[in-house]
Amino acid sequence: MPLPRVERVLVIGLDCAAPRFVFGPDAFDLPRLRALMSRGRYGALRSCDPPITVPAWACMMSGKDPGALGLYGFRNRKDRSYDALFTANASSVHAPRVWDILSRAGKKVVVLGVPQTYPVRPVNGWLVADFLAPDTQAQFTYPQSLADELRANVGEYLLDVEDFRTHDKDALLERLYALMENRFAAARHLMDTKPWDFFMMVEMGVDRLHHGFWKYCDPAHPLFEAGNRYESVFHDYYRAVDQRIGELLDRVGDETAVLIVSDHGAKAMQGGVCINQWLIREGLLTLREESAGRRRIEDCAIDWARTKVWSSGGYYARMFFNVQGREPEGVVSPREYESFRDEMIAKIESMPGPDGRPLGNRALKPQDIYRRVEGIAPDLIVYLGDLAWRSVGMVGFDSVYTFENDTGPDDANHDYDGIFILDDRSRRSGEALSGLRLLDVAPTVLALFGLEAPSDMQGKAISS
Amino acid sequence: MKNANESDAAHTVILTGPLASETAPVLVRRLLELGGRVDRIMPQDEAVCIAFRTDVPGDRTKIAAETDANDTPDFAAEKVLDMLAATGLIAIDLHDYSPEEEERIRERLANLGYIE
Repeated sequence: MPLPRVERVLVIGLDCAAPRFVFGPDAFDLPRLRALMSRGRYGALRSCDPPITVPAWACMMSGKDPGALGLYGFRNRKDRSYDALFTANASSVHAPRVWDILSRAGKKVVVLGVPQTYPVRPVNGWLVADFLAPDTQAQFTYPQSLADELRANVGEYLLDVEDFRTHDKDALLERLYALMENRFAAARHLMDTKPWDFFMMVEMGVDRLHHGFWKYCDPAHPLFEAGNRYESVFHDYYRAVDQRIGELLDRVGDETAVLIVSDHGAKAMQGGVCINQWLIREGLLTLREESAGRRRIEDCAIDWARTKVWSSGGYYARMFFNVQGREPEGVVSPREYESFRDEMIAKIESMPGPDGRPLGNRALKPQDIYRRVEGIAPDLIVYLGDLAWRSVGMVGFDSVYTFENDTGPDDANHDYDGIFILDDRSRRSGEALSGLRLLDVAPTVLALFGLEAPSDMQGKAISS
Repeated sequence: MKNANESDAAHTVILTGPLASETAPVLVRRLLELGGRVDRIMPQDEAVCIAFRTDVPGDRTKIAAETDANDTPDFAAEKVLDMLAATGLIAIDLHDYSPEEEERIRERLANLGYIE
């Protein structure tokens, strides 16, 4: 059955919201989301590769994969030199997103806090940028006058949570709630005062909550202690978000289709793999001098003539090969590139964990997973322990494995599946869907408006 | 004294349609922000004519733009700017980070765990 045509579409994004807590085995009592599911459709939403906020939201709203966008994470190589990087903000997204297409179609849009919307670009409506805005002194709204309007009506707009890496969890939790309340207050104001056809907001607090508190809430986390004082914070926070979503739903009528989506999920982080330390040990990366203490790889003097591979840290590892004629001091022969890449995949995927058993790594070639590869992609995208382990790019560790994080506590890693709930107002009686992909969201939104997706969108509108 | 690069040509935008009068002041403000010099704003029947100059050398250009009732005045003005940019009369530069802002964002992303 095709999607019905509706007058308005409301999209509420919950960054990192995990299926298990919304409709999975550990589902919380979330009455407003449950009601949407029971009269709509829902399912796990497979994120892009890599399942990271940037590029995931841009992929979701443009219908294009990271290769087509040429964006492989927050920081990307600018050229083939070793140190030139750029931050992937709105200026880096060269494909129209749903609100751009709808603006051109004469629809009034509201866009609030969606990642990669700074620097702001004009829309047919109102846009409030994301946490990639440097601060609220910069132009973070479109039109610019909206900034003063928000200040006057909901107070200073919070771009993100401050001091995230604190050990003071009470204070962090307080700030997470403040961030969430601030975002929803802005949403209520915009919803009440603007004549919108398409409204989209993203709440970042769920992601920050997962990273900051996972070990307190998930018995599968190696550091979980039953009965700890933060054991119910996930439940309580999801409940609070459900309530705030309900306040938005109460403002819309049956003419409005509602989507609740997340860009990726989350899982317990078992530890970190010091990926460059491993490359050094394997003889693939050579430093000019041994690191005295822990240092970012970017701050080390690398002996490029004796280096074949280097990697960056984060929730996944981006591996770059030092290729002759491509990198300034390349050593990997272009003729041997593919065989070397296959060797590296085999080596990475057979890496043992600290207990000697295979860690379960996955190494992907961009050319195998993207329709096309724009920009400068990593030579390999590596999920350590199938995303149960973080990639630690720093060097100066005694071991390849670490159970601490130099930048402060972080208990969760990203997972492949986010959430998708659609109430298109046709009362479908709670149909569970499978096979949903991030790239299907943009065509689905356009279909709800009766608009055909541009031919270069890679996803397709959902139907029965 | 005229700037050596300054064009003598006064270009004209003719705004028509239901939002013409509301769009005109927004368009004038944006033209000034982008370095243009506005000579005249002339209401004409149902239309508004805006005469302006830029530093881009070239012939006098006249652009007619019909506003859409479904657009906000801000967005209607941006659509006209896109047309002007397509003719090469103006350049629309997106603000991007200063080196200090870039470093602040890098630190924020590292603090959040996305990068190191």
